[in-house]
Amino acid sequence: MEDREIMALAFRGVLRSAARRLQVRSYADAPRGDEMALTFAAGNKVYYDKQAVKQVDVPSFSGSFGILPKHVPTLAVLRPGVVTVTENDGAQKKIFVSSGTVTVNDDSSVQVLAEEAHPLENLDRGAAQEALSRAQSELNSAGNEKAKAEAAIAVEVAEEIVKAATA
Amino acid sequence: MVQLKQVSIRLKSIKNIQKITKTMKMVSASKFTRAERELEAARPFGYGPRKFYESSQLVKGKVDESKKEGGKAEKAPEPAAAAPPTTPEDKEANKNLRKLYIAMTSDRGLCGGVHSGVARRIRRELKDIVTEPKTNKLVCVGDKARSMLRRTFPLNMLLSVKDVGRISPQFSDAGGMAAALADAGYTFDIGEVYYNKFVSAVKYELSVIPFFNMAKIEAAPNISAFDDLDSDQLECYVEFTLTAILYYALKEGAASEQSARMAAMDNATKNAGEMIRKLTLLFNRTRQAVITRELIEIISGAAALK
Repeated sequence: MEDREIMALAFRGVLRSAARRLQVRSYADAPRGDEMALTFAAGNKVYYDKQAVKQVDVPSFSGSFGILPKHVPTLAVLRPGVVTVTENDGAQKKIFVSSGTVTVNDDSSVQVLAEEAHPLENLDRGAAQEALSRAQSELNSAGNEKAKAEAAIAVEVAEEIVKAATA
Repeated sequence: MVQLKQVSIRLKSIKNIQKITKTMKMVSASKFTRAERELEAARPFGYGPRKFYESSQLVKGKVDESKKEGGKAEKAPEPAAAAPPTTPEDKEANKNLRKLYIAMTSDRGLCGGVHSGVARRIRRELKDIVTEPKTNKLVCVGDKARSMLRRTFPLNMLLSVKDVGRISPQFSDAGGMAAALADAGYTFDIGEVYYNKFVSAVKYELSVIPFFNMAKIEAAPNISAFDDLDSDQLECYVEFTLTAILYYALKEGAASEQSARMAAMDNATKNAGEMIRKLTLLFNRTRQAVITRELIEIISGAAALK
């Protein structure tokens, strides 16, 4: 009787230690083979740090494109617009970026570096309108080529913010 | 005999100095926490470009590994072109390579060997290679690097940036630097940013990040794996990458500088405390000696009158 109890205890102990050994140390968000690790940062904040996501849609100068795992390695320059990140659980996050770069590496990791980035819900439509009209008047009054180009960029960014905030 | 007055003046001035160093330490401690927080946000800006160098095989060695091992492996990702030339052709190519050195410091001193470490490293690098003023240019970020390097390499000076370190660096600061660099009219092939990489509150390491011009990136060994790129976009990409690297290096430098200033000021405060202790002892002894001497004079005078 006693023997059997001790046996049972020992058996349970073995089971427990086996279970403990089976717990392989792994990060929940560490990228696996067919996933991509997204690094998304701006001058003000880090949004994703090597986090596995499903899909990233970015606006670039060669047109907007979506990045899925195993995308062909590429380099692109961001234009003002909304970056949409689809996380692994299907949740979508929309973040407005002003400018920056996208790098897709051959190990399926993606780096989005933006000058400024803010979540869509933080954008204020009224303020954006105001900035747009200010940028437009600056564009009209710009004296030299450089100021003109700078104002044109400001107009473009403000237009996109207004568009993003309205949508 | 030490004059009592002299000791008391000295004691007072050291006490004042201690107050100053203590305050500076506290100020830099609060600046440091901010710089450290902001550095966290800037880290991907350093990681992104280096990851690209790795995957395009512009730079040998892995980025992720060197991050974990810290400083020792940090030197591994030297630019492929700057590796020690083995064949005569390599040497020849290396000689014709237009290189740009960027020294990341700030305007402020009193922070130990943070700035002089950067200057010393660049001095060594430039001495080692042929210091052709035409092919090797120097960009000094911060007054400290400028004042330390301008006498040794007056001909290599391309640009110096002032007003660094007063307030915490912003992305637009890096943008302005990159724009000034583009306007400077010097076309470089490769460049290196020398900066202090922040490790912990008591440790920083001198590190180097290479950067490349468009032609070098187009000629990278593994660039064919990448999708077709039009040169316009690539140019934008290269310029933004340089800005990102500068921003990252600025942030790392700011955090290391504040941590070093904190340590330096802490030491200064401790040293002042030590001096104050010794001087107080001397002051009290001298005071006691004066009293004793006066007493002896009075007593012996009284005794002589008897």
